[in-house]
Amino acid sequence: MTMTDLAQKVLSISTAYLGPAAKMFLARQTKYHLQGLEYEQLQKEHLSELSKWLFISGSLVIEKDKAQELSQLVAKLV
Amino acid sequence: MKKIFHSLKTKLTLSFVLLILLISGMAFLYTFNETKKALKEQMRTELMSVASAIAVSIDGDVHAKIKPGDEGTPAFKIIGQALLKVQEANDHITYIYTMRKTEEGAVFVVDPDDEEPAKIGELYEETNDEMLAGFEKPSADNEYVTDQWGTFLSGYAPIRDSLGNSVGLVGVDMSSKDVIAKQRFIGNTIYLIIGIAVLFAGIIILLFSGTIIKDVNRLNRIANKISMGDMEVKMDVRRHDEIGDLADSFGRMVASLKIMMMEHKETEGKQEQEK
Repeated sequence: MTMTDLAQKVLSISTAYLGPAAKMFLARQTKYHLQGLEYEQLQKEHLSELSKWLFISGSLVIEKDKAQELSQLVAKLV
Repeated sequence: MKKIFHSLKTKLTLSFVLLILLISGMAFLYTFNETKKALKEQMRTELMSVASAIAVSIDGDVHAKIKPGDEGTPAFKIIGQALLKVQEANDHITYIYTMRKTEEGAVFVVDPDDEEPAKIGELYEETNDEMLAGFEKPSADNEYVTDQWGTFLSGYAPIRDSLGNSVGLVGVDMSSKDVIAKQRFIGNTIYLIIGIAVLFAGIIILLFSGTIIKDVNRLNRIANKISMGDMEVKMDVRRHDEIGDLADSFGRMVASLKIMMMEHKETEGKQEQEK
């Protein structure tokens, strides 16, 4: 499945914080918190919710301040 | 003990301190050597100036007439008193005297020393080129000269008669102890300055390397925990340099491992449910 430009951008930002498993993490977030959305189909209207979950779930795998940073960067793409 | 010796902090601090010691040691040697040379040159100039000032005040015609056995004559006494006055006015001067050149060599003429005066016509056996040059123009020893009276740096200036002919010289001796004491004082001052600088540099290096090593050690502890399967590590290294980059890389690695482990657990759970 082809990835939208926005999904590509979010992945690029997230990889800097989460490493090579970033895509796996993002796919998990969209699957469980954005009504089963395929990550590749990510659109602008999903960003606000995704940003929120990037902070909540991100805090479990990276430091809280880093998760906050990542969340804010993704939110700015709106 | 072995760990302290092999630690990065010890190596960093030691190498910086050694480097500083090496540089400051070289700077010290150069500065001290140049200062010693300059000080000696200053002493030589001073000795020549004093000798010249006295030489022009002595009547060369009178001086030329002084012969052995004239120690009690007014001419001898006048010149002797003039020499003593200059000696008393200058603490650094140990001996002051006049000489004349004979076929045998340089002989003393007026030596006003209280304790052990040379007699008129007494041959001076340690004549050197600088002293002989002093019969023609102001001159000073290049190196310390040791004779029966001690070790001295001496300055000379010619005494001239009314026709301008050289009829003798004035010799001014400064004890090597005075010059060496001055050199030692300068050397000790430079030592002190370098010592304080090395101490401060050592403290700064110790503090600087301490902050680096502290974070490297923290990363090391985190890596150790991860290698033992503990993923609940706190990546609390915040720096904006290469160590900060390393910590970020570490953070990414840990995050990826956590995500993959979570995914693996989930897959395992699903598989068990299906069974």
